[in-house]
Amino acid sequence: MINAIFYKEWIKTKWYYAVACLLLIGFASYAGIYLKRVGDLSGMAALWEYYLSKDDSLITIIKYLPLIVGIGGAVFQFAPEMHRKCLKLTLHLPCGYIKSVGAMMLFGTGILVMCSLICFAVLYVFASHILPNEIVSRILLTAIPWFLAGFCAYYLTIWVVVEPVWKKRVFQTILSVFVLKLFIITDTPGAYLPSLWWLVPLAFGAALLPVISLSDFKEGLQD
Amino acid sequence: MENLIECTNLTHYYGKRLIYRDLNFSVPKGRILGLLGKNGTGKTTTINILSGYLKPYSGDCLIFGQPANAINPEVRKKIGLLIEGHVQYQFMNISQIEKFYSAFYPGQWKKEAYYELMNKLKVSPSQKINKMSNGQRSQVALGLILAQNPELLVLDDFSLGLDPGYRRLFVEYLQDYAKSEGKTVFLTSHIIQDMENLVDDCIIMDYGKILVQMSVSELLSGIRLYRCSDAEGDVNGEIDGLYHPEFLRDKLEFCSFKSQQDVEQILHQHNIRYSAIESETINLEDAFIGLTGKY
Repeated sequence: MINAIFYKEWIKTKWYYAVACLLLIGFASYAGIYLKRVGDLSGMAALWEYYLSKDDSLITIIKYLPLIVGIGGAVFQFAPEMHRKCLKLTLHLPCGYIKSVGAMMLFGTGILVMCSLICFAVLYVFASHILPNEIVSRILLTAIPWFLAGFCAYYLTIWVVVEPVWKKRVFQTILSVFVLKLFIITDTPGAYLPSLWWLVPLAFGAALLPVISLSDFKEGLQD
Repeated sequence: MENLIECTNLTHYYGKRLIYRDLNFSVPKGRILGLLGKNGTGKTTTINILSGYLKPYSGDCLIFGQPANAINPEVRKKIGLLIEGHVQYQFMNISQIEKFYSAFYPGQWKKEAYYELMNKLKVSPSQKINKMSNGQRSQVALGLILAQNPELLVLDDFSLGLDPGYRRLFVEYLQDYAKSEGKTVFLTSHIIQDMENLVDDCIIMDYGKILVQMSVSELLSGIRLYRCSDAEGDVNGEIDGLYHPEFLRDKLEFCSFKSQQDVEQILHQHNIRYSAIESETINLEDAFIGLTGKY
């Protein structure tokens, strides 16, 4: 049954996630090429010095991309379900509504993990050729909150899209903006390192929120 | 006889607007029950409560003995649901949607029933559902229900958006399937003539209440349309036993389950004068309009 739900989600979102993945690879490659170009023009020593003295993560071009991909993923997966209340069909499947929607979210999370890992791998390959390992790992750690924002945005967007009551939707949207802001306050390398222990549960804990909207949907709440 | 659906004292409001109060009905196994009512009388509300997508203000609704909003997956396999407008996953094509659903009903899925219907449509298996007409989509939705082979079918306004040909096709297929396999069906439709040959029992709803709940044969043999010529009198307000009396020029028309003798007595009691009275049997659509009124 879970495989069947994955199959449905794959049919629905394959083009979106293919484009999203290519975008992430493209932007990560651009960031890597940019690093190399700067290194070639001004010398590697100058690049390292610039990184250490200016507190610039050098890859801010990808900062908002995981967030956008996360929001888009939720919209492409769940907006068709809300069209003419198609979600009723999914909730009627004989496997329990938490299980069926949970499987849909697991699919989205899995694809986002894959996209994030590919993006990290591309960044690592480019950066490790021109920068020492200490700086590479610091750059990648700086990018972790941005990718966590992508996961959190995915869950929060599902929470908003599935909610049937418009007043609640507005409140949820405002709250989501504030929550997501927490992940992208600063680009300073290493600034988020002490906060990762609570950013990770915050990002993935948001996966529980769609249950509230689902419960509202099942009770037939409306404005 | 075992009841597959049992609703007791169902009451529902949208905000402060009462939809109905203390609605009671049951659907016995093997029967086809049609819920008839004008727009806004609560047909879709009832279907939503039955399918667990609406929590009633009060009352209980049991399906296969389980509360409608907490049916376990094994019992859910026995229920085929058609959502108003023949809603299905639009992003899938004909073969993908069959493959998807078949995984949920191992042992009971009848692939050939679905493809038999699809072959009649003369569409390719790769035809996307969102590129199909309303009528074709209705056949996809029906085909999926037939393939699921459920014990109970819950169909919300199956005739919505269908032209006469597809409506006829839908009714004929459904009737043949339900009667030959002994299935239980609970359905609504706003096209009453489709229901006459299809349903065994009917519930006719008016705003906030049930007007009639009986078998169609009982209803059609009991109800009569009365016409009084050269009639005069005041028919404003309710007259017990006469449904929606209405003057058309000097003719008075109404429906009633009472005998002509009793009707004449009632008219006399209400000072309604006429020169002649005649009555006739009517079809389900006329009975529905007679009971619920034209407005």
